[in-house]
Order: sequence, then C-alpha cells, then structure tokens
Amino acid sequence: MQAKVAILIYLMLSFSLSAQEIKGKVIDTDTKQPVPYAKVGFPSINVYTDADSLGGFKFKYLPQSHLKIKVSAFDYKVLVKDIDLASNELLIIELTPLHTVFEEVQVTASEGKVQRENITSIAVVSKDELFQTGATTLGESLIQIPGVQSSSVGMGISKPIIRGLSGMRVVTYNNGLRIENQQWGDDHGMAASELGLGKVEVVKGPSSLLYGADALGGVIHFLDEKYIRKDKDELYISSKFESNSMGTTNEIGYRTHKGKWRANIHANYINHADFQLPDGNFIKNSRFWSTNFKSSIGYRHKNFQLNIRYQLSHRRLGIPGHSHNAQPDVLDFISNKRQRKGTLPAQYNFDHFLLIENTIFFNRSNLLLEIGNTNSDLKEFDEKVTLPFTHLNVNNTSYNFRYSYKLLENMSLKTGVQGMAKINRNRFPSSSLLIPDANTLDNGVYALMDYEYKKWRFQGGLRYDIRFLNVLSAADLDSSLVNNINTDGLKRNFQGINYSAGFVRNAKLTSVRFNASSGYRAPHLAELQADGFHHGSLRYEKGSQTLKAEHAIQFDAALELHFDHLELIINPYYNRISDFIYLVQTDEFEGSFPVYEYKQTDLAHLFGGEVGFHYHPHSIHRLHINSNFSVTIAETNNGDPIGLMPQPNVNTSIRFDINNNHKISFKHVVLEHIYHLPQNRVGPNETFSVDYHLVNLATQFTIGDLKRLSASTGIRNLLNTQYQGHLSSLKNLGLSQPGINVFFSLKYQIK
Amino acid sequence: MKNKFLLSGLIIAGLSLTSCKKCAECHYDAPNGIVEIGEYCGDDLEDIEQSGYTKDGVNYEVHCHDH
Repeated sequence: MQAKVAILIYLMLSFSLSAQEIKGKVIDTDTKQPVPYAKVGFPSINVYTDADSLGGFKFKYLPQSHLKIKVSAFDYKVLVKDIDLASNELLIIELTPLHTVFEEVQVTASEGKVQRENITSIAVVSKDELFQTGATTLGESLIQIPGVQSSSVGMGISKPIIRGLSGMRVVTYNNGLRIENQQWGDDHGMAASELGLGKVEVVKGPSSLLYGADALGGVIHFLDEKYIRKDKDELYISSKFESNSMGTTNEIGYRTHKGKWRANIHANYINHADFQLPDGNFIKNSRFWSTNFKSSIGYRHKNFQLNIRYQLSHRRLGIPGHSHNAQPDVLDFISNKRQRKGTLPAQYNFDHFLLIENTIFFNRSNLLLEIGNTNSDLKEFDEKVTLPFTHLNVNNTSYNFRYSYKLLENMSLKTGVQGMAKINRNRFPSSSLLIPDANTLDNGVYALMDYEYKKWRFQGGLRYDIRFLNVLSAADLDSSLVNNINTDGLKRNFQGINYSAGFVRNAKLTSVRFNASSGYRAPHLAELQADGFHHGSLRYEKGSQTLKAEHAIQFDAALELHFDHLELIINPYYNRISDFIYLVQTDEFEGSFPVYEYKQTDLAHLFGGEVGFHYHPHSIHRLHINSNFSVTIAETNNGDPIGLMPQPNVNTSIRFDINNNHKISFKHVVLEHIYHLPQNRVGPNETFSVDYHLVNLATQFTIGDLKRLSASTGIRNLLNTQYQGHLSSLKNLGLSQPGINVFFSLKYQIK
Repeated sequence: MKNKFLLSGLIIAGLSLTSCKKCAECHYDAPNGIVEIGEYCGDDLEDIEQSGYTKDGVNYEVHCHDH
C-alpha cells in the first residue's frame, strides 16, 4: 500500500509546475498573411480567446501537455489538431480559406475528435440548433437529430428514442455524470433541461465500452454551455411565451471568468396551462410547471483542472387521460376550457445532480477523476390529494477514473474503471409500490486503443462489467401496498464482456466509417417484479423474475461525400440483440387498462439507418437546405414485428441567413418540414399509425446597435395538423397532439 | 433603512405564519356508482384519504380531486 501511495505522489509531483505563457499567431495558409480575430481555444479545458487584428493570441497557465486546439475564423476551414504545449514554441496556426462553410465544427466529448473523425456514430447538435424553431421542451427538440425520436405523455413528459430503443436502453449523461431517474417508466420523462445547455451529443448504438451497462440503444450526453472567456462576465434575462398552452419560460443566467476561477449560474421557471388541440378543445390536465437551477464552478491552474457542477430540478407534471368512467370516451379527456390550476393525477419530480470532476495533465497523458451523485425523487398522485399513489427515490453514486496516454504521436490509450452504487427505495406514506426496494452495484474496467495512419484512424477496445442486484423482499409490507409487484426478494449477478472496434478514413471528397460495438443490459426491477397498474403509462404491466440480460452487437457503417456545395451521408446499421426483453399487449384487460407482459425473444433484429444531405450553394451563399431520413425496422427471429417502434421520418429544413446590419438585424429565417411516415409494422394488439406532416416557421433577430436585445418568433404546427404520434400515450386515448403554436421569446443582455 | 427592515420582517413573518390549507372535493365508489361526499380541508382531508369513509358499516376508499 505504501508503495502505491509513493508512486501516486511521485506521479503527482513529476510534472512541471512552472508558470507558462503560450503565444501564437494565426495566418492564411496560402498568403501567409495574418488572419485577424480568429477564435482560438482548447475544448478539453474549456479555455478560449480571440486573436487580435494581427492574428496574435496568448494563453496563460496552460497545462504542459498534449492538447487539442480548435481555431476558427470567418471564411476559413475550422482547424482542430493536437499540439504539444510543453514545447514552449511560438504556435503558428495556418488556416485554409474556404468559401462554403457548412456548419460549425464540434469536438465530441466522448472521443475528443471532430465529428467526421469519430469512429462510432455520434451526432452533435448545439442548443441553438435544437431550439431554432421554438421547440417547447428539450425532448421535443431532439427529434431534429437523425436517428432520434421521442415518445411522450402529454407535453411535459417526453423520452428520447435512439434507433428504436428507449427507456432503460438509452443512458443519459450530464457532463460525464450518469443520470438515474426511474427512466424505466414510459411516463417518467427525461431528467434534463435546456437550462444552461451548450450542446447535446448522441452516441447511436451499443455504447457499453465507455458508458457501462444498459446503453444498448445509445447515449444522450448533455453538455453545459462553455465558460465565458477570461476577464469577461455576462448577465442576461430571457422570457418566452407560447400561445398554444399560454406557456411561459423565464430565465436568468450569469457567467463569469476571473483569473483561475470560472462560473456559470442559471435558473428558470416554466409554466404551461392545458394544451390546445387543433379543433380548439384542450387536453385536460396536460398542464405542467417546472423550476430548475444549474451551476458550474471551475478552477484551473497549470496542470490541474477542477469543475464542480450542481443541478436542481423540481417539476409538477399533469397526467392527461384520467376518467372515472368504466368505459371512458375520448370526450372524457378533453375540455372546451383551458385550465392551469394543478389537479390529479400528477407527478412531482425533485432531482439533485452533483458532479466533482478533476483532471490532472501530465506531459503525454491526463488523468480524469469524476465522482458524482444523483438523487431523484418521484411522487405520483393518482386519486388522493394528500397521499401519493407511489413515492419512489433513487440515489446513485458513481465514479469514473480514466487515464489517457499518448503512447506515440499517432497512438493513444484510454483505460479506466467506472461504476455506480444505486439505491432504489420506496418512501412512505404511499398507497402502492410500483417497484420493490433494491440495491445495485456496478463495476467495470476498460481499455481503448486509438491508432492513426495517414488518412486512416483505427480504434479498438475491451470492457468487463459486473452488476450485483439485490431486490429486497416486500413480503412483510401491508398487502394493500404490494398489489402491483411481485413481493419475493431476489439476488442476481449479471456480467458482460464488451468490445468496440472500427475505423474511419477521411479524404477530401469522402469519409468512410465502420464500427462494430457491443453492449449488455441487465433486466430492470420493473421488468423483473412488476405485476399491476401503472396509471402514468395507462396500462397494467406484468414482469418476470427469470428474465436474462440482453446482449447487443451493432454493425454501423457510414459513407459521407463532401462536395463544394453539397454533403451527403448514408449511415446504415444492424443491431442484433439476444434475449431481447419487450412489452407485448395481451388480449386481457384490467378495468379499462390493457394488460402488457414483459417477454423475451431469443433474438431481435433492429436495422435501418439515416440518410441525409446538406446543400449550401455558393451562388446563394445564404441558403442552407438540410434533409435527413431515419428509419428503424425491428423484428424477432421469426420475422414478427416488435412493437412500439417509432414511425420513420423525414426532417427537412430550409434556412436563409440574412445578417443585415440595421437597427433590427435579422439573423435568419427557418422553414422546417417534418414528415412522419405511416407505421404499419406493429406488435400484437398494437394499432397502426397514419402519416402526417408538420410545418414550423421561425426567425431570429436582434434590436439596437449594441445587439443586447435579441428575439425569436415563429409558429409551430403552422398548418394546425391533427395528428397522433405513434408512441404518444395520448394515441391510446384517441387524442391528437397539440395544434398551432405561436411563440415569441426575448433575451436581454444586461451585462 | 429602518422601514426596509420592518417591511422585510413583516413579509417573512407573514410567509411563515400563514399556511396554505389544502381543500379538495371527495367521493367514494359505491356499488351503484360514485358518491360525492363534499369538500374536505387540511387535517380532515388527510384523515379521510387515509382511513376512508364508513357508511352502513362498510368502509370505502375515498378519492379526492379538485375537479
């Protein structure tokens, strides 16, 4: 033990601690002339600056390590490359002129590469892009990402679906912190908010190698807004109004960076009354409110970086579709009067997320030490005002220690250990248990090697995970509490050996990528122990204690063609899941609720892909046309369709950049068309869905010379289309989704 | 300055001394259909939701809503 401590101390002290100032210059690669006012930064340590009018820039207190630098300037190709900061030389950055810049180049958090260089299928979208047509919720905005759809219960609750998989098969991360929030339930929405959000990364397909168990469908990684540049601060207030639900979102935010300290603080309050249907009626109890607080404090000095992030969310979500009639009719769920006052049934969610993230930079390596805790409290009120139907709490403490080492200039290694201790508890008083109390312990160890050779990049890795699940017996509880679960205790271990291997070849005209990755998911408590009503998802569910762990292997290929004015991408995949657990509707009914059973098929085949293009002609420089088509087909080994798969969809947006220089300066106008194709491949007793079109229109502008006041306005569901999303729980009730929605938002930069 | 302190004190006292008494309309499901039993508030509401409503020697589970 003493030897280990001595080695650790030696490692901590072995890197140089001398203060360091890095200077550099940005020049044009053809003319060798300075490029003025370029943006220069290091994404991995969240440090940015602007070059001066002569292209010069400098940084202080940078780690003496290999870091990725990102440099961008108007009409130049974005440059991202590894540099050695220990060399102390003047950095000469050469930028290549480019007349057609398609979009901003993003460096992904998961692989630390620009999007085109990633071997796994990763989509990165900024908050501005997600909300450019005024989406009401973050869940609703995610459907803009190819391969991502969402299921919903009303408007306040939505869950992401990646390539047809959702719930426990999609793992949510928040700045490196794994979020556990009862995501097994269809009516338990995503515990994420657009507050203080910078961008979203979506890893499509099994991603156990870096993210651990359960991520068979993929990972949604929410990343906070960047810290502001050094010696600057910013204070803003913003407000958004939506006509359909008379909804408001009011927000305040502050960002500062003084010396070695940086901080972001944001808070908001959201309130929506009942949503209006295209026919003018309102969906009863679709109202919701939430309040959120998010803060990040960062300290950075030489070779050490610390970030402490804390987030608090409190949400009250009305559950539509409630009736006292034994044989309810669609008219029971709608009203000609809009209401905002809280009524039942409803959910109260109270979440705390804390992450402490340390990075120590060595010359050729860095060590990431992350420790986090999430606590998610969920109360579901059904028919009683003072007594929740169920009250669930999940507390999850997680760790992630990762060592990244640059073995050679073109070869690097990431290795680490990762795990979590999850405690599921029922709180009392409550009327019923939906899942029993349980303790879960996960531990995993992994290594990932990366090698680059000319235009090629190869990656391969291996991971071992073990999960200990201890379901506590509920037999001693009052029988009235345990009507909805199997009360027997259960102790089981699940193990998984997973891998990922692939390559990418990037040339000027083409990018080719192939990746094979695997993942495993242990059955969840609800799948093992459920046996009763779940009012939130409007069905009766039956689980089975004998369910085995699912194992998935995905083959993912992509071909990208990069022309001067046109980009094309074809990204097919095949995801083969053994022992696939799925919910199937039986012929039985319990009261007005259909009975669903958790079943397991030997093999499930999910295949499909995303095809898209981006057209940006030089002759109409302000025009961007983006279109993508996403489809997932899921079937058992016998060729029977697996139910609850999203409709294929085609998303097309036409954006016209204006950027005029007047008192009112318009940024752009966006016209978006979303076409959901019919879903005819359904499970037993599941109903088909017809196709529908949605059209959204929006514009953004600033007011005044200083551009402190910015605004955004537009219309969602412009054609007031009456439609039922295939995975909306309202569909089971015969209800449409919301109709036309005019929105207007203002943001004032106080400082 | 004195006035500001006084005002702040009054606001804090007001907020801490006044409580929001929750009221709701309640009913139970009898064999012949729903029977409304009127509005209950505060502790009475909590009691009836937990212990139920007894009529003719039969104890019924009570449901309360504000609709």
